Amino acid sequence: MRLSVNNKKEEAHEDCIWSAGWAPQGSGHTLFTGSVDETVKSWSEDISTADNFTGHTLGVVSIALHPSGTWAGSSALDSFIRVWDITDLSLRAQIETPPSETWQIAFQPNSAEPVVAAAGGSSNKITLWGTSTNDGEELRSYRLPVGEDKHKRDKFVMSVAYSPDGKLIACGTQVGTVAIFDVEAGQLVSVLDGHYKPVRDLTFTPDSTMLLTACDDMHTHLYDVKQASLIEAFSGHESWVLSVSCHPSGNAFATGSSDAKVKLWNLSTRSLEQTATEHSDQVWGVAFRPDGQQLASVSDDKSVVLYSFSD
Amino acid sequence: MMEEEHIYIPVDQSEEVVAVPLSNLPEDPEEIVDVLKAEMVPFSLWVDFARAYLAQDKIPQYQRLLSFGTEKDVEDFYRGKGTFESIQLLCELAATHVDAARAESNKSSKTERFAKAADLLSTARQLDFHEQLSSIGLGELALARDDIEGAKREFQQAARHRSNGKENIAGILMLAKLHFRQSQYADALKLYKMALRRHPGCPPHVRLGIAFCHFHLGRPKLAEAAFNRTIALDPHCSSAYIGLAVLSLNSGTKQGRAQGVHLLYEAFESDPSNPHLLALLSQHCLVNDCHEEARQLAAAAAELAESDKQKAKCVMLEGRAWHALRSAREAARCYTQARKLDTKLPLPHYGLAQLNLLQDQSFHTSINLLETALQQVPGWQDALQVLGQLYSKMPEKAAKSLAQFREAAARSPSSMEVWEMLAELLAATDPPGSLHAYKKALELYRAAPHSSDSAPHAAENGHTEPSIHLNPKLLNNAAVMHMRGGNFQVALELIEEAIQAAASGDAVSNVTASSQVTMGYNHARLQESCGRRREAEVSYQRILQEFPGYVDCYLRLACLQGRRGDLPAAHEWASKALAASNNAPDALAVQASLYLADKDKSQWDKAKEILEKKLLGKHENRHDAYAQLALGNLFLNSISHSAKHPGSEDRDSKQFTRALALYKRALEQNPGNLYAVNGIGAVLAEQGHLTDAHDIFGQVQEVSAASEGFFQMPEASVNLASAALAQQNFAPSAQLFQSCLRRHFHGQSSRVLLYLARAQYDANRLLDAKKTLQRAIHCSPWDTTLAFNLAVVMQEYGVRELKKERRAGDPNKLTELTAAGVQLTQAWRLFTFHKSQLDRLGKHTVPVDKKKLAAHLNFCNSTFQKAQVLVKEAEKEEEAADEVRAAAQHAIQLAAQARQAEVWAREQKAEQARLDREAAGRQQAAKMERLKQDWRDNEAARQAAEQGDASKVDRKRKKDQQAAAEEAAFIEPDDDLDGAEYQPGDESDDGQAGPADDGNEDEGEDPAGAAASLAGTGVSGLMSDSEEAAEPAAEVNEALEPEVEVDGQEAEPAAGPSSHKGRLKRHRHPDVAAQPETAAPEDDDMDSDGPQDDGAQAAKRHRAALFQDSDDE
Repeated sequence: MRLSVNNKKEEAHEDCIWSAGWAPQGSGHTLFTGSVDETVKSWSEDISTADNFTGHTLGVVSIALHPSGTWAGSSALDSFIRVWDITDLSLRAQIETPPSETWQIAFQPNSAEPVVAAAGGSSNKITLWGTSTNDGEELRSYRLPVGEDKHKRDKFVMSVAYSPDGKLIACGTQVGTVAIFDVEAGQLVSVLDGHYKPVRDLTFTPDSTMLLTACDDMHTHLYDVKQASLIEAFSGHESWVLSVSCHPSGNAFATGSSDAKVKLWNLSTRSLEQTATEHSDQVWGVAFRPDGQQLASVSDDKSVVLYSFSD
Repeated sequence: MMEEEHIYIPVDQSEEVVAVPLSNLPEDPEEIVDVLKAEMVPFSLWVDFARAYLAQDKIPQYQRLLSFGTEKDVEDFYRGKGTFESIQLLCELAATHVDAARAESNKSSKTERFAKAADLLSTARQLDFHEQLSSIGLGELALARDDIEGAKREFQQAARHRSNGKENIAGILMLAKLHFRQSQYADALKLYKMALRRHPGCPPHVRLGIAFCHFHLGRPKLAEAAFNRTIALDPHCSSAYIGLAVLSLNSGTKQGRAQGVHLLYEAFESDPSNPHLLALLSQHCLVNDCHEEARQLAAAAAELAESDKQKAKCVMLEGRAWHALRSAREAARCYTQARKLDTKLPLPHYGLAQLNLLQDQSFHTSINLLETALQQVPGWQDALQVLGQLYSKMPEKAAKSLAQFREAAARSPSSMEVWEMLAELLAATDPPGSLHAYKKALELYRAAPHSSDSAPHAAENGHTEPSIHLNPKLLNNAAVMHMRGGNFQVALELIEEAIQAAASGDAVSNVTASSQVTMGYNHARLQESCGRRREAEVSYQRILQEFPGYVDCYLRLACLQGRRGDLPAAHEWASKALAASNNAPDALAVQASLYLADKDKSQWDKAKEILEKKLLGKHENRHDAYAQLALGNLFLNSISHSAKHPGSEDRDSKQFTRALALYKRALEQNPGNLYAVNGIGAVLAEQGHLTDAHDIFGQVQEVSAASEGFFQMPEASVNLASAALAQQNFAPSAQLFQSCLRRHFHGQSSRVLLYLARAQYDANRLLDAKKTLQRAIHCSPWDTTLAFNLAVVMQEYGVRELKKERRAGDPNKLTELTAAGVQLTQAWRLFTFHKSQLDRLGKHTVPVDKKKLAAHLNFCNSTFQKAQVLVKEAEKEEEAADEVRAAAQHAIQLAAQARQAEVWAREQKAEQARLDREAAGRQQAAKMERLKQDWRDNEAARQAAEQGDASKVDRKRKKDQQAAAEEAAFIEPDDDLDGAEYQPGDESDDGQAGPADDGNEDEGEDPAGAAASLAGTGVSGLMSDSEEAAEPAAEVNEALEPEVEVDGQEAEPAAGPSSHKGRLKRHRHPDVAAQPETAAPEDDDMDSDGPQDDGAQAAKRHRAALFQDSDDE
């Protein structure tokens, strides 16, 4: 399998780009990027032109796309979550959360109305926000167990991901905790061991049986969700792993790192396939297009790169 | 000249002759002299008799006869009749003096002899200035006096002159010999050939000369032919046999060697007393491990040696034989004697140096001996090799002969060994140079035919050059050097190649088991450096399975786990290392480092105890540089904590002193320890000597920059930038922080980002500071200090926008004021958050106290109110301005229309005039065309105006929304605060930004009055610490205060092969060393990955050293 550079957009934003996501199939192949320049952009297919979503007053940390292809969500350092209608660029909801209590966000996959799950930062939980009103409303939360260690600070919850089947929700924290909850029952299902440093991104495999994590310990872990056990630790990046995206086929995944590199890994052979060095600064986001034919990566170097993926 | 058995003396004035039988020469030459005088014989008979004595080795008689012959009366008698004979006698007598002088050890009698010879020779010369003999004699004399130039002059003259009126090649031959001795073989060859041409029937030794010249010029075929020709002419010429033997021996083939030995023995049969031959045989025996025979032969050769020089060689051979027989005393005696006989002979120095080492005497003596040897034979590989190893143990001595090594390498651009040696030697002192040398050696290695693939090829063309064997050592060491230079990928490939080479079984030396393990370790180490940590872990564990005593593997595993953040697992590995190594300093260092890496600072005491008691407290570890630096850093860091608390000055100054003492000690042991230098800089900075500190950091950084990636010290760059900041050089400081972020921290260190933000803030680049802080928060969102500082920057930005002097009708006013309001709101939100954290979770979660937070909140609030007022004003102004603008636009439009009408009217008139001349229809068409054009222009203008309005409307709507949000957010507007008081103005920073304590400098720049008027404003974030807690600003300072960091890593103290393991080992795990720096309270989550790599490299170097050890005998 191979990635080959397809398109590169320099100066895609005015400042560092921190997140990327694709609108689901059916609504065209639209890439969304969020930047410290306080904007979210939705790109034309050849990433030559973009529409701007403005409103955040600090850098955009995270972007999420609703499976319906109708809504995009973004969270920023201003601790607002904004939900937009992709079709007419209008704002659906603008949820103000307490400072430092929102980091990565994810849409609940199987809800008709958009529901946003937010990694709750210093609140030590995942919070679900409904968007039926403009201000949003807190629907429920999944609280992390409090550690016995008194000296440990609050676990800052950094990352959140739903399993594609919508049954599970997982989060990663600053101290390496990876927790999985049952979405419906709200119970903690398991805590996955192995990381001790910030887990900045995680994603389930398409069949919802395994979980991939991106951690500052420079490793990506592959966990068996049911057994709650570590299957494999992938090392190769020379700095923090910031972002991970799984190919829809479930055969490959990509990672982006502070070492400015993008790596492609083979999930069947559990080995490194390729290292791409298109970026000159930290790669904060990698994302496979839902049809699996392309990968996007975004970086502090302000550029967006599209790669064709071939088996 | 001489008849067969008799010399016949003609009896004066008769036909008779008296036959004197040679076998019966009188013991007293006077008898002969009487007869010679009485019979008035031809002068030549004198010469004949003298030579007869000489031929019978009756030297005293010979000399006496010569003396008689050169006496005044005899000379007078023969004057005019036997000038040549007279010269002959004089020269021969002179020669006996020269010989005697050579053998004479007493200096004054030596000089006396020389003087006599010179006297005789000058008499001879005066007899006939064109006689060759005297020139030759004078040349020999000059030679004996070591006056090569003089000898050359005389011999050149001799070559031009004739002997007794006849042409004689003797002069040419002497000159040739001289050139030969001076190793000017080409010149010598030319002369020999000339002699041969002039005198084809010359004695065979001319051909011998030609043969040896060819031999030395590297033309074995020609040499061989000449030797054979010599033997054809003189079947007993042992020198020719020896020459042939040497040629055969040098052929490199087994057959050749056998033939060579055969020839030697043949020559020995015919000439058993030829010292050359004996020496050669001895050498042959030496090579073949027949040491006793070699010794005997050498001793015999020494007895027979014709000159001191030759004797020296023979004695030296004898010494080598003794050396090989392991009789060090005898060997030393011989070497010493040989050295005395010929001070220029290099081998005895070399031998003595070896003996010295064997007996474990001082390296100094050996180094001196080798250096002397190298003066004689510059670039002598063997000596350089031993010297190289010695230097690596005493790097301070290396500088002296380093140039020689470099020259030797430059002279042998194709010798892999020389380059490899240079590389090994430079490894300690000049890593980039070493890397360069390794690259060159590798290049040669790759270009050379390898034994496996070239054997048939070599046999084919009879090429004698031996093919190069696989050389895992070279590959390994080159890999290590590449690793030190940060080229991990290249290094990994090399080490893989090395392992392969070692496994192929065709290695240059038998790869010992231990070096194979070392290569395995190096491989794992490089996997680690290349980011393949998982594989490295597996590799280390595999090594441990086989060699449970391989402590370094435990330590690397401990470090790996530590870096992953799994401290318990790391401690477990460290304990295993301690157990396996019986508390080796390295293992202790790692353990200490793990405690230092703990977020729980109570663990630091454990680290301190290890460093103080178990490392520095123990005699054998007291020089452990890591412990010195780490402990120094620990002391220094505890100062930065107490600096803020009044009354701790005493304790602080004690800590300064302790830290400084430790750094100094480390520096004394290794003057190149830049970490210690950096530490001293940090102490100076903490004490307020900013200029000095800045200089020191600058120098450290320069060294680092000049090292081509071999020495990376990010902390020095951070410190340099911090010092610049403290000196209020904001722009350069920001630039330094930025470049150091890029170069060393993958742009991800929130600590350095925070410092950068501070520099940008001070440089009045508030928006940049805001962005930088956002990046920092993005890296460490849990760090409340960052958020707090972001709030301060936004507050300040808002205030400045409000306070900005604006010219009337500034079109940006409203937008900017609105933005200011947004900033203030954000700041207020963040302060509120801090307050809630403080209330909810307690003091440790927030970098400021309640009072200050309240002050910030109040200030934001009130400023926001003011902003609101200003925004409303601005809106009104804007509306008014809009009206004015609209009116103006209207007027302009009207004017334009009027103008247009005028133009039109004018044109109409003109048209009217033309109408008279032209057809009416065409005129009408043209007019219509113009009318249409004008209409289009007007339409475009109107559309543009409409669009402008639309955007204005848009903006207004947004503004209203935000204002509403802000009003909702601010609960208690406080109207007391007057705008005039919030002048962020020109308070200077007072140098607090940096590590300097306040109060030490810049007195008077922040007068109390000025500060007082600012109390409670909370605007500036720039006020002095001495102000009361009322201003949040003070805390801002603290929060933004870049601490001068110290880095516990030591500069690498010359790695290299060494038996002093302790010395090498101690810099194994500076991983940890970087940790004390994280003492800054806000930064414990910060990692110091760069330095850790350095530490790992040190460990790696250590391995390399061990490997070299194991390979070198």
